[in-house]
Amino acid sequence: MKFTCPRATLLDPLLLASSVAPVRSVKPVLQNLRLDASDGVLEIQGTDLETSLRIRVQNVEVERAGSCLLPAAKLSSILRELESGPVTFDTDQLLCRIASAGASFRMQGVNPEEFPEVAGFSESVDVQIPAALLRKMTRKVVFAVSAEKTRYALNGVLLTLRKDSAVMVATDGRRLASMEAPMELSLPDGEKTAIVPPRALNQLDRVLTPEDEFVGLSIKDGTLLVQTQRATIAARLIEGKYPNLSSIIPAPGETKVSLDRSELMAALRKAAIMTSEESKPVRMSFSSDKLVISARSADVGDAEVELLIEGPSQSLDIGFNPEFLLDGLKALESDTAVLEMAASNKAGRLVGDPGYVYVVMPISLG
Amino acid sequence: MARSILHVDMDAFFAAVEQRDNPKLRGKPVIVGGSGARGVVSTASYEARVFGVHSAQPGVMAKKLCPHGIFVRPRMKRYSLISQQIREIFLRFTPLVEPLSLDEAFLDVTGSKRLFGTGQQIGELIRAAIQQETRLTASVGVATCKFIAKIASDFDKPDGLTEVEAGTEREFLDPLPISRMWGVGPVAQERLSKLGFRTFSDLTRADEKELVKVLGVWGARIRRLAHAMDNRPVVPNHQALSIGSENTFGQDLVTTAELRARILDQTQNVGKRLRRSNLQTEGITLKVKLAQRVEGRQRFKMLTRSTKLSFPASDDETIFEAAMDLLSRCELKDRPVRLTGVSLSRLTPVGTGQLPLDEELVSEREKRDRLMQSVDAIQTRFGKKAIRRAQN
Repeated sequence: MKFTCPRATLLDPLLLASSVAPVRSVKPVLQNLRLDASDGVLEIQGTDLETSLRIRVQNVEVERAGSCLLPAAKLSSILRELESGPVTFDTDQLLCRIASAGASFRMQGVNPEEFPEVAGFSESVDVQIPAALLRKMTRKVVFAVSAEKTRYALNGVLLTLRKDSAVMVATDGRRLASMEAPMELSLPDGEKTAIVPPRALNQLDRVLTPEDEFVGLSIKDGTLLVQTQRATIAARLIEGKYPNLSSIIPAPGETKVSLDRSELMAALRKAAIMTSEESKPVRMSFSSDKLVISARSADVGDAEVELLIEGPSQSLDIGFNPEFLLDGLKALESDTAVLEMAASNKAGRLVGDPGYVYVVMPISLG
Repeated sequence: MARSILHVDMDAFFAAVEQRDNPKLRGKPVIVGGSGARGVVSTASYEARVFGVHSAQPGVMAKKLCPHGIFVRPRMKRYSLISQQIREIFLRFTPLVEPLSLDEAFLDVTGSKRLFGTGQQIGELIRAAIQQETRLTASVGVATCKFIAKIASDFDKPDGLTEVEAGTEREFLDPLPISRMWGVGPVAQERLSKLGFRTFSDLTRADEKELVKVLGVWGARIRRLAHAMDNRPVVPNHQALSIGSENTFGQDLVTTAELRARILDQTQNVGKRLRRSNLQTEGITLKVKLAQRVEGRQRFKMLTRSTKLSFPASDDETIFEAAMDLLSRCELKDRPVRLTGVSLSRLTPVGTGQLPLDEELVSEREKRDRLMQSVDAIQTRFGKKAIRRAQN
């Protein structure tokens, strides 16, 4: 195999592929990337057997078609350090020489046959989803995914595809983000659901380019396949039972307050300074004309921040983890955020953007 | 007005209790703690201290220094009971009592002087009451701040009282060797003496930056203490910051099953104490000491892993699951283990904290809490062995 291409076009795809390769693995072969060059195209593959990425680089000068398997970490270090200009990869059996102006490297590769075949890479996709919308949905929910291992199903985003809409939901049992977007999907009646690992969605976010208008999706045999113009992602879906959403997402509460989103964020950040690891909550005291956000930490001190608002008819005292509220406020785009609450021990809802609901459970102040 | 702070320290508390309860031990070198290969001296009577035996010393070494020493197993329940009795004596004089351990406490008696006399007089009254009601002796330090009171109580030990009057703090502190400084161990001491710091007065003249360079933030703190600047209040009912349980094993453990059993014991121990204080935890830490020494050092390799729960919990099951998860994160791979310890932090009162979103979790948690309540009740009534969690 021998090919040449500018460092600039190679760097990003290579880093993307190596971000999939595991740093440590019981199967050391996975710490490599597979490179295949032919017909002016270079294809780079990386996988940790959970998430796999295949990404294509166009306009490569391929002198000799072929394949090689090289250590992902070293490969990305080399590409990062090289000056801009053309880079040539030239293999002799398993040995690969990488040369560019003023620097050359030789690396022992592994037999490409040893790299696992990624299932689904050759399949065709079921539906086409507008790329911008998919990306927006991802960004609005993915941060709420649980990092805890005990409830496995919550470690992913619940994706539901229907004939006329797509929904993404994520929760860690303390807060939940849900985004529904209307779209025409060429699906039969009923719905298709999958629990998608957040890594795959973040990966998709990174491989999308401005040229991508649509993203192809298919859910089959426990695998999600995503196709963009330059890349294919295959992700093994999370098995498990997602909690029943209709019981989690509460009806809007009686107490509704409209707030300036950036003002509220600033106020929360101020009050949060005086929370500590042991006592995280900020107390939000709503009255008819103002909202007082206060925090107290036994060993540091306290804070009180006041916002003038058009308050609810009934006053309400409720405790929240400020980080959770800030996450939801960051995900909103509208200037005004509406906080809907029922009682100090009932879930609060944050709304403002069409199709988007962010639910936060309060912290009991005791 | 200057404050009147007392530091009351029981003299060789555990050993003194043993000598009191068992006349045969009186006047003899009593060593409370284990004498076995892994035993550690917890308290030595004054008769044993003459031979160089002191607390935290390996039992083997104590045995060597004092071969005729009488080793006694600690009876924590007994000490705790007597400690409670002593605490009640303190509370007759002031509500501001901050216990540091079973055998020492700070008292702020500033507001009690009109009723009971000067700080020194109150100190003597307390000593007399302890002597009379428990037949044990205590040493007391009286000063205007915690730090000096603590040093003073050690000045005329055993069975003594030392007062450092307001205005004479520096006079008292200046000539003291830095080894008396709270938190200055042999290592820091050596580093400081290399720089020419031998007494408290040397520390007061030191450049703060220089001390910070040697000891970090601690350096700035000890300089202020040497200047007799310590306005920390006496905090009554000091709420526990953490609850822990650890054991050094008689024999190194290797298998996960063995470790599991020990960690379960430790979990049940901390869990019970947690619930007894009506607290819940969000932070769980597992400590594992390997039988393998740190290269080139005497100390053993210690692994510490912690985790934070999403929701506060007070049941053994949740704590145990987290601890076992932490154990797997230690990646022991059959390396022998000398000690394990489970400790709980981020403690908050039951009924506060993050609420869960879905009913499934709520009912699960309620079930566990009810179960724990029943188990605790049965164990309190019929003993620890009456009901136990099955292994696996």
